[in-house]
Amino acid sequence: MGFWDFLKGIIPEKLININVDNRKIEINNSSIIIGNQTIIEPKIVDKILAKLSEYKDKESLPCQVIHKDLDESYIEYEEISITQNESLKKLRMVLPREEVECILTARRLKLAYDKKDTELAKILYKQLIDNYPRKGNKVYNLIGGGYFDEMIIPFIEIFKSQFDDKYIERYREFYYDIIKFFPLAFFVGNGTTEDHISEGISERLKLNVPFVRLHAIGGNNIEKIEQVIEKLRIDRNYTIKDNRFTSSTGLKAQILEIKIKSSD
Amino acid sequence: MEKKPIIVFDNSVKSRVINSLGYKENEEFKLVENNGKLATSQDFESISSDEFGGVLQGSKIPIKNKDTELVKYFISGK
Repeated sequence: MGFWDFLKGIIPEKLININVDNRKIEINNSSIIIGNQTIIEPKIVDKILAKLSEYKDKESLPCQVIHKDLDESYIEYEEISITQNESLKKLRMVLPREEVECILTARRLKLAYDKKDTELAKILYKQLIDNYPRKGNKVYNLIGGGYFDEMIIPFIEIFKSQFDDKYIERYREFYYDIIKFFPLAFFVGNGTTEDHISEGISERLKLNVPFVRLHAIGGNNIEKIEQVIEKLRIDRNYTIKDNRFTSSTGLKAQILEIKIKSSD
Repeated sequence: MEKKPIIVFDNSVKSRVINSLGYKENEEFKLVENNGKLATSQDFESISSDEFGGVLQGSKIPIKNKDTELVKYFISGK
C-alpha cells in the first residue's frame, strides 16, 4: 500500500492532489500540516494513528515516522544519500562503517556551508569533532577541498585493478595513511598547476617531515608531477618512490613519495 | 534510492505514536514490543520513550532522537 492509499479517506483528497511535494505530513495532538496547509481537526490525527496501528504486526511501514527534531536532518541526509549514492556504495564496499559514517557527517557539514547556513554548520562541526575527534576535521577538509570526489574515491577502482582480492586491505592502508598524514599528502587534480605542485612540495618539505606523498589521477596530472620533480631536481637530496597504477578501464594513477635520503 | 514519505510528529503526540507503532514502556521506562521483547536501536541499544525519535521504514527499526541514528540508517543503504 502506498502512502496516499494509506491516507485515503483520512485527509481531504484535494490536499493529496494539489501539493507538489506532498510526501510529508506533520502531526501534533490536534492538527496536521500538509505543505503550507494546517487542518485543525483532532479526529484526523486519531484516524492517522489508528491507521498506523494497523501496521503493528506487519514487516514494514508505508512511510518513515520521524520526530520533529530529526525532520531537517533526515531531509538533508536523504538528499546527500541520493546525490552521493554511487560514491557511498563504493565507500561502503571498502571502508568500515564508522569511516563511512564520518564521511557522511562531514558531507552534511559541507552541504550546510554550501547553503550558507552557518548556524547549522557550527552545530554540525561540533557534532563531527565530538563524534570523530581524531579524524573529523581532516575528513571535512578533504571533502571541502574536493579531494574525496576527485581522488580518494576514484582510487578505489585503481586499487581494485591493481591488488585483486587484497584491494580492500590495501585501500584501507591508503585511506588511513591519507587521514593520518593529512595535510602532508598533496593531491594533484585538474585544477592544480605546476606552480601549485612546486609550492606544495616545498612547503611540506620545509616542515622537516619524514616524507611527502603526491597523489594524482589521469595522465595529464601525472605529467605535471614529472615536470615539477625534474625542474626542482628533487632527486638530488631526496629519495623518490614512484608508484604507478592503471585500472582495468585504463585510468592512470600515481602515488609519488619523496623521502629524505638516509645518511648511510 | 528514492525519497520516502514521512510522518513527522512532535512531543505533544509522541506517546500516542509510540503506542500506535506497537510499543509500550516497561517498569524501567524502556520501550518494549507487544510481546514484551525489549525494543532496540540499530546498535542493539534499548530506547526510553524520552529518547524515541521514530521508526524507519526499511526494517521497522526504532531510533533514538539523535542525528547519528540517521547517519547509521543512511549508511546501511536501506
